[in-house]
Amino acid sequence: MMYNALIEDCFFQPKHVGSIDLSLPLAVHSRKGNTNSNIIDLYMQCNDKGFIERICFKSNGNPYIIAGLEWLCRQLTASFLPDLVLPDYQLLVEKLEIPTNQYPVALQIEGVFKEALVLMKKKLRGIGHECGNATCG
Amino acid sequence: MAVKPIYFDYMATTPVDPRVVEQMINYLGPEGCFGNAASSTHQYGKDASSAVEQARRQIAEVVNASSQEIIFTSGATEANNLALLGAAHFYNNKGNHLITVTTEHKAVLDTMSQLEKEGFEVTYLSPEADGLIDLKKLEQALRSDTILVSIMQVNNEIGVIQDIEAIGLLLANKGVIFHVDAAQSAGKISIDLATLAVDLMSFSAHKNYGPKGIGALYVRQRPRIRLQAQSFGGGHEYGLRSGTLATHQIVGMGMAFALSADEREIEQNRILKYRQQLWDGIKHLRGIRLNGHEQQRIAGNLNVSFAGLDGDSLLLALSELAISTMSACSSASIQPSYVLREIGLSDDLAQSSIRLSIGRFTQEMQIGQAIDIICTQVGRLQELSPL
Repeated sequence: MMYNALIEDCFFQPKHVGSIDLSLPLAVHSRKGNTNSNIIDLYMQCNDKGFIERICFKSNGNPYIIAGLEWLCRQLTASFLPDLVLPDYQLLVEKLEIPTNQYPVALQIEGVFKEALVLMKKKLRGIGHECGNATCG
Repeated sequence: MAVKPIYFDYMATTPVDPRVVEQMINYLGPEGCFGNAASSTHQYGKDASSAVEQARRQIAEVVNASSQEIIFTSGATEANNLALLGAAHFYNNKGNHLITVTTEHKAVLDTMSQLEKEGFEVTYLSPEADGLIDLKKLEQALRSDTILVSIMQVNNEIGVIQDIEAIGLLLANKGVIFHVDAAQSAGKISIDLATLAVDLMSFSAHKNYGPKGIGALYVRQRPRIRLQAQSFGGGHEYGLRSGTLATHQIVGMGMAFALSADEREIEQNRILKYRQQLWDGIKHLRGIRLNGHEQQRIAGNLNVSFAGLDGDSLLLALSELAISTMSACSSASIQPSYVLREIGLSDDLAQSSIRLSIGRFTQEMQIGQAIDIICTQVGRLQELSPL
């Protein structure tokens, strides 16, 4: 299998691997994947101003999954949730040159980020942050 | 230029030994011995024919056979085809049942499948969890109409060595032809066809530091085993395999086999030591499992699984090493190795398996490098894993 330079960089130099203590007030976790393979755990932590302070993942998936998670984490770190537009799976397909038979992987990655953002939005709404409005996420 | 990965895929193919290359060149150019071995009317043809016969003798000597029992083919795949199709077609009036093992190379399994389409019946024996076959199961599978049993000596994925001596003894005097695919064993294990009860044996040059595109089939003469030819057009190779002989490749195969016989004992001891160093260096890793019998395996083979890791990620992480996963790509997905599934591995575990194979040009320093790379990268992937 041949992978492009972005995949190789994200796969071999990931800076967003790990987990976040979910007892923290603005921390969320989302999991996608079934059985024992291609599992994704995504963790996100915001500050009370609505900025993503930390985002990280764990996965036993293939190189497209690991690189896709790392690349999206890089894009989203320090983002302000009210302004955030989540890159969709098509951008992932393009950036990582994901082959047709691996498209479900891109959808899986998009799905786990969407879920984490929805969870975070709920948390922020709970503390009365403006991110609870319709423009966010 | 990018640094090439360290080669650990000697069971896929070997580089041609430089001494063999040097010899082969003499049979190509206008100054060399380029004649057609069938052109007996002039010196060019006679020289080529003499070189072919010399190579035939070299190969025969390595396996203690007579040179008339060696038929050149394009490789072990063609040798397997000729052995199975040729024997099944010739002895069809005697019976139509054949026996093989589910972990054979596709060159045997696909040929068996073709014979089934033609009306033959095939029994596929499953190996035990260590990859070896139970002789009792083979004995029970034999029928009055069984005409042939085909079992490889060394498995190309997990490297286990079947006891072909015992299998031969079991089949002796039963009127059943015994074919052995020796593509992975010739040159690495001592083979004595004067004492083994083997009727047909397939050989490959490129697994044994010879060139690609050449192989041979041993066909026993006493008692004589008959085959129906599968290709026509000139009656070469005693009428069994028509086509102009590739002198340079045949010379290369002959020399490669002769070299392996000279160096086998020392070389295999060195390779075994390297394999043991490699296994000792990685066997502590979490979730690792050795596939195939630990002792009854070829010196250069190490096939291991890493539970919980994705096969593609493993392969990319270990890209500094030229290794094999044995998975097969189809249009929609990666199919795990059928051999590993046959010895009881789950699809997930089979997909997280790698084969490292060590050979003549592996250096001790490379074993240390491989241990470092595997330990670092497997540890990194395990840190990435949520399990």
